[in-house]
Amino acid sequence: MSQPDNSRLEAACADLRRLEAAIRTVFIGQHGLLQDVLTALLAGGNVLLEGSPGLGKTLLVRVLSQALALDARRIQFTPDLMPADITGGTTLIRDEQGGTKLAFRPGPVFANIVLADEINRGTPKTQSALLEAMQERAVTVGGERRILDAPFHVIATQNPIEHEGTYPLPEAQLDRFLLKLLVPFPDRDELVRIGLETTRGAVPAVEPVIDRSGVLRLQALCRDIVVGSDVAAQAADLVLATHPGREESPSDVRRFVRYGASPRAMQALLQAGRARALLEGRAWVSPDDLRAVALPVLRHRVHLGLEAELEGIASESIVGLVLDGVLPG
Amino acid sequence: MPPGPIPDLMRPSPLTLRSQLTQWRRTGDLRRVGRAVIGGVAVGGGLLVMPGGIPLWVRLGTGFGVLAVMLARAWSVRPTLQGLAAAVDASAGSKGLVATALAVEMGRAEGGSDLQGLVMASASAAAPQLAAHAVPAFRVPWTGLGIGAMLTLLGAVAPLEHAAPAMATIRAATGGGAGAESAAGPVSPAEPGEPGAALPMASMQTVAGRQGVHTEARARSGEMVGVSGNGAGAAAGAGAAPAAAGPSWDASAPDRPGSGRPDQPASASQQLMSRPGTERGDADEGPPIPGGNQGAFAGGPEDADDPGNADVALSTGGGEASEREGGPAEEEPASPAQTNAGAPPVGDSEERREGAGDGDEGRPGEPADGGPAPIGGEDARSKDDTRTTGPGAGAGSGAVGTAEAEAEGPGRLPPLPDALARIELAWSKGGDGTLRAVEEAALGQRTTQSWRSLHGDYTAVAEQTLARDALPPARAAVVRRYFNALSADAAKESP
Repeated sequence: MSQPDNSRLEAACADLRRLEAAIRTVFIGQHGLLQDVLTALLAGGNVLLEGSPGLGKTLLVRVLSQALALDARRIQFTPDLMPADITGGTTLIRDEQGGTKLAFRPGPVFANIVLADEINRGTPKTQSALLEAMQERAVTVGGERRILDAPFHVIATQNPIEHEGTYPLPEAQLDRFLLKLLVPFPDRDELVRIGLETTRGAVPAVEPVIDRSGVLRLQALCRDIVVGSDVAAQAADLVLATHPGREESPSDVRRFVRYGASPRAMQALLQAGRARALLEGRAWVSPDDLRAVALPVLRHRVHLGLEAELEGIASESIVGLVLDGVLPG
Repeated sequence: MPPGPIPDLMRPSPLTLRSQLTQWRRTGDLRRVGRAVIGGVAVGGGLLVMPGGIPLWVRLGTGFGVLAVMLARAWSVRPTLQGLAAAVDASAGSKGLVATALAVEMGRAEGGSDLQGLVMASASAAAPQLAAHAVPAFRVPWTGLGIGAMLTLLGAVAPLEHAAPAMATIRAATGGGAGAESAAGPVSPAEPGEPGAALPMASMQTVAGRQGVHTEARARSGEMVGVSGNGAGAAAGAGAAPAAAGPSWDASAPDRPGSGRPDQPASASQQLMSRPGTERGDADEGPPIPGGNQGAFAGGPEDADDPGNADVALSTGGGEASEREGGPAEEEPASPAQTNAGAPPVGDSEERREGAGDGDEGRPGEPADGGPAPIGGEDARSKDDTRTTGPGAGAGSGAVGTAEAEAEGPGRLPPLPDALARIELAWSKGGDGTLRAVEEAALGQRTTQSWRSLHGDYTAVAEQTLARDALPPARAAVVRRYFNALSADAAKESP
């Protein structure tokens, strides 16, 4: 029996360890958040970060892009932001012969990592400008479809406190985020470290540890992680259990959920599960991986009804209920 | 020529994961089945040696049944290969390695080929460590062994001779030859110590309690004894319907002297019907006496349909209880043929057990004139109260019983015919006094000496009545306890 080739896996694990160490030199604490963001990065997905201001969301994105040597852009969403401000547009430029011509000027979406800050402040029209980019890695401007460079990730943030003048993301756009992460408040020790290590001067730049090709290689390896049929079946059960129309669904799901997760959630579960397995240095997805990613994958894909709102039921509790039923333990 | 290295073909081929899992499952099957066999044999063996009176085929059948159930149970938890793989992963903490490797081997996994090979290699490497989790260690079936030992010990310590009459009833019910005595008529008075010998009186109460004849009202007042009546069963409560199905034992033979006195229905019936707290007494009103699962022993009133049938019904009766648990009696009144005076036994056991009249609910006895009503209420004891004594009134619950030989008691019991004759004679001479003596005996009052002479007769009749029904072994202890208590009281009160 030939010895299996695990060099890819070992190299990937080494890269990931270096990447995490590099990020941790600047980004203090928030271990779970960093794991989840790396999960989305490996799975090639987009992330919606929700948290109060000042928790380091923007810093995380900046440090990540520096460590990966990727092109990162930031878009501050405001109500007057227009789609062309994101995708770019054709402008009249002077050519070398002195004449003028229409030329495409790419917007900030043409980057590897796009930080869409306070995305819920943009109008729906502007928000939807990201739809095509997030799902198809392409934008259509002036009738011309332009492919975005890989890797392409949108990391959006939104503030859960301020609702005045905001536009909640539509379900179609929410579904395009692989993970929705809640940025927790750092604990006391982390606060102490943040205070001591970030007030001496400028935040140091992070040395790149993985280049763009390395990221693509990691993502390719992530797609090769083995998923058994039983794990896939468990993921399908998770998705189906969020649907209120099924007899097998928990009673609270039938009562409080308006729409369950989409088939894209199934894809997201397996993608994120693979990434989680890779982060742990495993060549296969385990039920534990599904359990770890189920909440960030499903929480924004389960749409609650009015009764849940009146009762103060959060989607997290519904997902937890589903998780306990399908993947106990 | 020196031997060369062992060629690869000589080496055992590595097991595939599937075959490895199959092997593990087979080993697990063997252990589970072995455990079931040991446990089943232990329990079955205990059953074989435990009850002395149970026919061999019953014991064998039960033993094999236990074994079959345990084997079926062991087989029913046989896991699928996927289930076994998942269980191994869960037990060993291998994070789904075995399940994924099995899926890879069976072509049910997606992923890069190199990573699939890595998964298989990892599973093969971990197989020796996983075996311990796949095949759990053999567990001694302590439960089965314990039950078997307990049954064996029970058989050694208490061979249950006293259960022989019940076994005889079982045999009769199942067509065994031993049941002929029961089917042919009243069981002949058994010699002391023999199967079918007199059972202490409280057997009836236990049986009555089982049948729901016992009421808490009666239990509160300690009432349990009723005497006489006719073949229509024990009466309790003033019901319009004919008394219910026959008491298990009653002397309705027309040739019996003193029985079936149409001119004395009231007194006899009152005595009988008052016991369980007649007159619409709510059985649930009274608090139960401690340990008082005592049934009423009430004779039924004279049958309106057959007033000439004088019966001595040693039966338990309680209208309210019958209605509550036994339900309204639907059986026909016991025919004379259903008496025990040399006659065939009363109906079938079910009839006797379910005998319950349509009588109205009784009422717990209340003092008639300021004094405590010894047994029933004043209404019940009033001879003028036609509600309780009218022809056909009353609800009966047929007494059932078993003949359990009481090791210490039966020696002093007279033969059954003598007992019957003496009871009936006493009744004919003055039923009230005799009946009262019996009642008082049951109530523990025993203010007169007459009860002692009658006690044995009464007990003999009661036990003979019970002998015709199977008394569950679990009841036997209750019966014995009650009788022992009675005997102890009697001994204390004896001069």
